[in-house]
Amino acid sequence: MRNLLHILLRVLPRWSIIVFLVLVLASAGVALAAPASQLGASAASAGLDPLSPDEQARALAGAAALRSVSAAAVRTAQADPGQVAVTAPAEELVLLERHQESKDVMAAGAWARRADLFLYRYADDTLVHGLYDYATGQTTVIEEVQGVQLPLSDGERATAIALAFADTPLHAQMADEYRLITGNALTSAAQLDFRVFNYHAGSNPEMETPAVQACAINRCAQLLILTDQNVTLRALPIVNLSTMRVVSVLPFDVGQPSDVQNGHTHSEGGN
Amino acid sequence: MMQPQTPPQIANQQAFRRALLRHSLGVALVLVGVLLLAATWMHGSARLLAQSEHACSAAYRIDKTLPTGTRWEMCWEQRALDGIVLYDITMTPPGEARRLILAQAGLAQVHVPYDDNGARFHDVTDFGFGGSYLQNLTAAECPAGTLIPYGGKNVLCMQIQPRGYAQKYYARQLQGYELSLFSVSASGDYNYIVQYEFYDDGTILPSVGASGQLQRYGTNAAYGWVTATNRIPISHYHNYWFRLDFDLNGRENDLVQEIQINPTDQNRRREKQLTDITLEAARRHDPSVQRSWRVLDKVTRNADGNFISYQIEGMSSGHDFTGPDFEPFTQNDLYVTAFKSCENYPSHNPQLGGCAGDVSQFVNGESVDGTDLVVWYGITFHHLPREEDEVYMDVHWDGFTIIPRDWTAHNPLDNVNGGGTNATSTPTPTPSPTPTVQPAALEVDPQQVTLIDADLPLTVTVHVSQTGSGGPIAWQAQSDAAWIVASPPQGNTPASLSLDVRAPVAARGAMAGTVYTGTVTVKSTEQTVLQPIAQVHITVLSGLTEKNFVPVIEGPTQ
Repeated sequence: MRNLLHILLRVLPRWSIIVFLVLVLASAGVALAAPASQLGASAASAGLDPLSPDEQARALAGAAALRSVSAAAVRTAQADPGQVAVTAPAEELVLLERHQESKDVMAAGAWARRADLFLYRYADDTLVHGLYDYATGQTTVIEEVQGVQLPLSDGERATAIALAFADTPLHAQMADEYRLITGNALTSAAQLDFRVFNYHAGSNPEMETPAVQACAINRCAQLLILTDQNVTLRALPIVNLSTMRVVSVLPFDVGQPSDVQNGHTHSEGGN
Repeated sequence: MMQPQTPPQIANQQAFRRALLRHSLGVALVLVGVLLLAATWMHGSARLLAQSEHACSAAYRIDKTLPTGTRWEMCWEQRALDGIVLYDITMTPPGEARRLILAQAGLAQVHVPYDDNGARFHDVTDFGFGGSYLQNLTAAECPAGTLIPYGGKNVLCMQIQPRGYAQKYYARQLQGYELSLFSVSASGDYNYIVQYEFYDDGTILPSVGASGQLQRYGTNAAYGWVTATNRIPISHYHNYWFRLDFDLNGRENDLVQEIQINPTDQNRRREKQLTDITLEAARRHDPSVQRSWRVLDKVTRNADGNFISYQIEGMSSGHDFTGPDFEPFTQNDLYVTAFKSCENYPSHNPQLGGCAGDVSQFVNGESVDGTDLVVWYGITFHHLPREEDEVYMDVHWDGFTIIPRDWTAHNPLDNVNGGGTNATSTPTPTPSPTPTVQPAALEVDPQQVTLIDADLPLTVTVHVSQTGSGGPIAWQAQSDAAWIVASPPQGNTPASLSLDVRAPVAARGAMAGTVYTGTVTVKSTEQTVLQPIAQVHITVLSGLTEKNFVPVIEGPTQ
């Protein structure tokens, strides 16, 4: 190495070696600096890419700025005496998504990455919309609204199931149907399978009771319930996650026209 | 007269030369450094330019050229509510310009009202089609395709596959291909297969396949169908809504035009009517006048001077749904709205940023004349359950087509297979009622050979024959690709022509899905032959699938 340097110094003027090294260092600087400065902090992801695991983790850390209480803060409710108490987070992060930039921004071709964070604050039934900027590491609150319901988080789905199982009338309904379908007693939530989704008040306004209408402001879940053999129960309960109460057990068709009016045309086969 | 040089002068000259050489080398080194800096800067710029063009990285970019030459490009993303969303859908027909069609396309709602009014679901916004509801696809679900992962799951299946006839006209035939992308989202007990097919003729087919298990049962047969288990699965609708952000050749200058064919003269005649939709609008299907819509670019024209456009046509309008007043979005089948980033779902749209909750409320008199616009299109399937739906339902497909109208001045696939007036694809003349002499024509069979991940080299045998009257036709064969060797190079009909297909130069290690095409032209110089040229098209696709393929030979002449 030393010999090589000697040869270079003999063959080349000293100034040219110095200028060359400066240019090499400048090239390295250009190569390293371009992604960071022009693409924002997330050099690995291009504009329309979904958030990478690293980006998700960083934005989740940024969600703390949206919270009014500690992430560990909980709410507790006991639906009926004798039933188990259900505990759920006081605030729930319901959605983390790449921020969809405006078309004017996207027209530039490359843009800084940002993420939308949506936190539901149960204390006053408010959805908090935050924007996390990867370039600055800052979260900015964009909007706080009531009555806007995004799909349920995994935690909220689990809470809805727990509340459903702890509700005495609904539990009785589920147990009756389960016994009818399987011949066995319902002793555990593990015997059932649940599909849980958001219930929007106004989806069927003429059929909604005042307790269900409260879902216009409160956050509510509806549950489709199946036996462990994938037979659907008739019960289609609505659970108010804000009040932690089951507000409806059966689907809205109860009390509709009887079989006399139902258009039976065959005495055999039923259709 | 030259003076003899003294030793010191010689020494000085030698020193000067050495110094000159030394500094020249120094200047050269500096120039190398400058070039290095310039190259680095240009590479960075090129990378940004590439991102600027595609706006997504390779993992989320789809760029496929179909065997017939049509290229489709797009980006994709998984989103919690929407599931898979497609962006920047761009098409390059063979020999034509590359143009953007859609800035964004996605399934924006699945509305499922039950006939007993017991439940009215809005699956995309209330369940979400992405995240944990997006199913992990297996290789068995994606035959001969490529599984594309996200978040530890295979969320997309991409397939390039034959779609049957692209064209057929007497002896001419062309087999078409499509790029197919699908994902599966679970919603309740349903599994929805959300699929987009991109044809080589430019057509886009968004569709949804509904499968899974029946999820609601009742007691009233008026609202369902009594099954063998003496239970009554309740009838219901699946109203699928797509959000289509058209940006034909760019986001500006778009306009929606309603097309219908009106009966006149007491139904003896039909007159075309074109109506520009210049303000945000809500429109209904009307099969009685074949109503459809096209989005056109008011500036860009094809080579014939017609505005380029894409037309939306429902494949089936046999089912129709109009809901109660509290579901205003169901009162129409198509909405045209000015683009707004917070208007994303036709119902239960999160009312953020001051946006409304229903597409019918998005329509509020804004101009959509030459602006950035969005088309919302709904299709309906009423599901009257049947016993065959238990235990698991067969997939029921519903979709519609988005087809190019004047995107090009002629059918771009006419150029495939050497189309035109003097190739095998030339239409066979209509037989005369009293033929005396049928003109001779040269034919080859097969006309098209597609080799998918084949072990090369291999030999493809082509039969050279003739139709019509007259004696044998003398022919010569010539390949336009060095990796296809035709032997014998000449002969007389009928004859067998061997095509020795070797690996294209860059095939080894090529990107999955790379397409190589070559053509062997069989030509007669005899003046009496009406159709003196026939062509065999060889397509080699590398790395698409596992190595279990044999040559797929297509396109027999008869």
